[in-house]
Amino acid sequence: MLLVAAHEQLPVAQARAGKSEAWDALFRRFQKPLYVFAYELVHDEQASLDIVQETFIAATRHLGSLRDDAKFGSWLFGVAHQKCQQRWRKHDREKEALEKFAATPEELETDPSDLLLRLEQEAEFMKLLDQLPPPHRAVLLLHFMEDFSLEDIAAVTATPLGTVKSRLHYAKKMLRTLWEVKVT
Amino acid sequence: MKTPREVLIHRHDAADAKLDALRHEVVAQLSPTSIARHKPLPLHCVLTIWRELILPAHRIWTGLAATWVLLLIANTQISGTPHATASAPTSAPMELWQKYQEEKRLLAELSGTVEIQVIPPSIPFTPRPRGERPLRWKVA
Repeated sequence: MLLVAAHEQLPVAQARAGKSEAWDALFRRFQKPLYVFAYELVHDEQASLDIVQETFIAATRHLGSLRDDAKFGSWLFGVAHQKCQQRWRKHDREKEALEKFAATPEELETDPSDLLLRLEQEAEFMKLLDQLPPPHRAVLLLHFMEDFSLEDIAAVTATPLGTVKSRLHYAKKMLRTLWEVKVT
Repeated sequence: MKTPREVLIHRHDAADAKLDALRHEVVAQLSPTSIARHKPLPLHCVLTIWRELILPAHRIWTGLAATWVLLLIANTQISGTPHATASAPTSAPMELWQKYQEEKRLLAELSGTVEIQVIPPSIPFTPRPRGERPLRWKVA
């Protein structure tokens, strides 16, 4: 049995060699974060499960295109993000959100991932997160869920680094603003 | 107190069973043909070449391909006529000669004129081995 720990060596090489145990370990490691990521973007349980399944199948078929094994996590999230985008396009919501929040990046503020939430704040936090536009929510989720670097998030979402900085900045700013409004 | 990650993860604990089932299903479906490592070598090579060599400079390759196609078309059009005429005499000269004779005879019969004696074509010289030459040559 292969064991996987967060931020440690993943059995990507074994998976490349076709070992089903390695695939099982990789999928077990990423199934929940991927599901959360998909669910918080599409807000549909069945659609999120479909996205996770499609992502896993795509990973088994296209692992050959992954050059750096250490980037497996961000690569997998990139595949899932593409699947989410396909669903966004159906609802045509992304365009509206992008137009609304097009702006230049500023210096990043204190990290909201550092904040700790009390039990009664959790529901509020989720509501606030849902109010963010999908592209901004995606960036923030990747930041929260896997603590990806800005470069990794740029690769996952297939957007320029400047756009990622901008989105993360405004996502944090908006979250903070909404939070303050709720608290006061 | 929880981090946002913990909040997000624990919020979806209900989906764990479904995710486990889904994972087992995908892993069970892993057949040798569906795994990336079993991709046939030529296909893998072609894909690698396509990704590494063609895609980064696809415009240049497209331009080169278009130029080659144009050159091929021009070459075919220019050399098309001489090929047709040049190949005819070498293909079957005897057949052509016989056909010519038949047509000439038919013309003479139809017109009622005297048949013209046609000289048969001379047998083309074919070199023979030294041993088959006449004896007098050897004596000389």
